Amino acid sequence: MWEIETIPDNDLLYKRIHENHIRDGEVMPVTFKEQGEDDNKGMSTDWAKYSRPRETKLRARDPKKNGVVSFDTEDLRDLNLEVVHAPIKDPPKIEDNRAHTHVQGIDTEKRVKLLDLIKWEIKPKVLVNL
Amino acid sequence: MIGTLPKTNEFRVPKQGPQIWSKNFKQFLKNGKEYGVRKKVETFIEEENLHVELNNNIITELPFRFFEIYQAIEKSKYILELEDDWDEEDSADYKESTWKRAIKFIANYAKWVLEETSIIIDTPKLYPGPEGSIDILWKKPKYRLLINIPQDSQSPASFYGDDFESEQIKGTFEPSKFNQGLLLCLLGMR
Repeated sequence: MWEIETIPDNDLLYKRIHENHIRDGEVMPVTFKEQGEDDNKGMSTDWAKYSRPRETKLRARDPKKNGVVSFDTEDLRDLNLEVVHAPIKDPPKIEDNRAHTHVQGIDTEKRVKLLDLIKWEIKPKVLVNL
Repeated sequence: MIGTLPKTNEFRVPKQGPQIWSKNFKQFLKNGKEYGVRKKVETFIEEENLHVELNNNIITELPFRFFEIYQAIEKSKYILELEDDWDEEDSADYKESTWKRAIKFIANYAKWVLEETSIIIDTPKLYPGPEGSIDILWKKPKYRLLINIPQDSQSPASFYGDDFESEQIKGTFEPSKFNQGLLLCLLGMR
């Protein structure tokens, strides 16, 4: 099992955005949602210390349909969101991921504000030619 | 009386009578965007309502002046076609009942604001939300507001809005009842 580390401010987190979360060229707020239960609940992201945008994209079920955005952890904490390193080791069905990090505390307010923080690292095909 | 003639000649009133005129007019409205005369049309017809229908049932009615909102509602019907796991992130599909509650809220709210203030609210975007909910988003230069209508009809809707500066509004409400706080938010930030 990997050690759970404290992620410093100003480190980047990468998050995939599926093409179906984009409508008329705009990212929809639904893309920011927590999944899982109890302590394992959160919005899944990858810590840049152990991942690159392309690796994050390739972890998708169908990478071709996904883009990748980045967030500065300090910006997330400024919104009173929790950033919790949650590495995945030997799970059923999915591959190990030392970079895996949960963002917790997402509600209607945070979903609106997260839209402003989006910075594309890899644009999905649906946005490339716009 | 259905309405008065427009001064412009973009649309001809047939001689056969009001009923055919009304039918043709609806078709004309559907094509209105292509003709680029929709705004003019909205100014001279008020008595005829637009019907939002689903499976041949009328869900709600809107006066013609809410044509843009009507269009946004029609456009949002794609949400009902999304299947389980539509985003490959195990997201749920959407129930008609949730969509109907969202649509009725927008329509009733728009009509109420018009009645009370003579103001036509901005047109929102309707999006699929988390866990089978519906998001209603206004993102304008002077304000932004997100209302989330949950799948569970017993749960309240949640909302957040601000003017990108110090003014903020946040909370929950029952979608079937009008809410003056939201009204103030929408009108105050125009």
